[in-house]
Amino acid sequence: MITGSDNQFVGHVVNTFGARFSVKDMGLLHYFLGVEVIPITAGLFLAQHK
Amino acid sequence: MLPPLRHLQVLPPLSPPISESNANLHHEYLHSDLHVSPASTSPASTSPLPCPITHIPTCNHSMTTRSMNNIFKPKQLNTVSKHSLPPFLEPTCVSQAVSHPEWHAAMSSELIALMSHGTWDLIPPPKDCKPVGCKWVFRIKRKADGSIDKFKARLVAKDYNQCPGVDYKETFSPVVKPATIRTMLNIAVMNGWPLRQMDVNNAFLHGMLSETVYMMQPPGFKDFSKPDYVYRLRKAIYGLKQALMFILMIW
Repeated sequence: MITGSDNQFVGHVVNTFGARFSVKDMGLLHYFLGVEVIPITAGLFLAQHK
Repeated sequence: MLPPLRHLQVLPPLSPPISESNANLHHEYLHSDLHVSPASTSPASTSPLPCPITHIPTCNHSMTTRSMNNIFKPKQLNTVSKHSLPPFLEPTCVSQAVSHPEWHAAMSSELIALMSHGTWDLIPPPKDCKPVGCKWVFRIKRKADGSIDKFKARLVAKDYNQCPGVDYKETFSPVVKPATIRTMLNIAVMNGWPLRQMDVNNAFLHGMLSETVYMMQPPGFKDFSKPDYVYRLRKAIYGLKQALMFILMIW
């Protein structure tokens, strides 16, 4: 899970990882370790339901 | 959502022998235009019928069992699942898998990934070495709708053969606290930062081993010209006691 104030820098970090390891960029966070993350206008909706 | 991996064998519904009274009952239902199939009648309504019990308990003891009082659990005849029985089941050993081209391809790609990382050297077995065994683990990865995404085969070491102090010094199990995840989500939401995620493929294969570990050749994929040779591992593979520690050390 990666976040940061600078979207470009976050992309740079992902690319740096990609250069060193074989990575899968999964895009925006949607499911992480059993927690489903749904972005809503007020923030994030977390659900432990798959 | 994964469908159940193991399905109980689906038994044909036990049809009680239709006696004279039941047949009449059935006719009455038909005449009164009630669309009740005989299969849906509850066992209670057919209680005067002979019960299809194949094994009649003989009582040569003083204990009163439930079956003697005619108390039975309802027989569960079928497992209820909206998915039909999968045409592909996960093989439990390599001998079941080699005959299927999908699993064979999955094992080949795993071996290619391991070899392209220089995971091991094939060497004649040293005198005092007790190689760690390994096995294949097969999993069908499914999409959300239950359709098959891919066939995955993973070669794992049998870590229970590993000897502390010889094959490994420390073992480790990486965990993350849920509070840590929520904190990170909080920071991102408060600042309005975008959240992304990524995954490292074959994360285990990036850790160099410090201990010398010998492993047997994978079942089903032995080098026929060197059947007694063993692998000397250079990198961690799944299943090794120390494998998880190397995940953290590479970061």
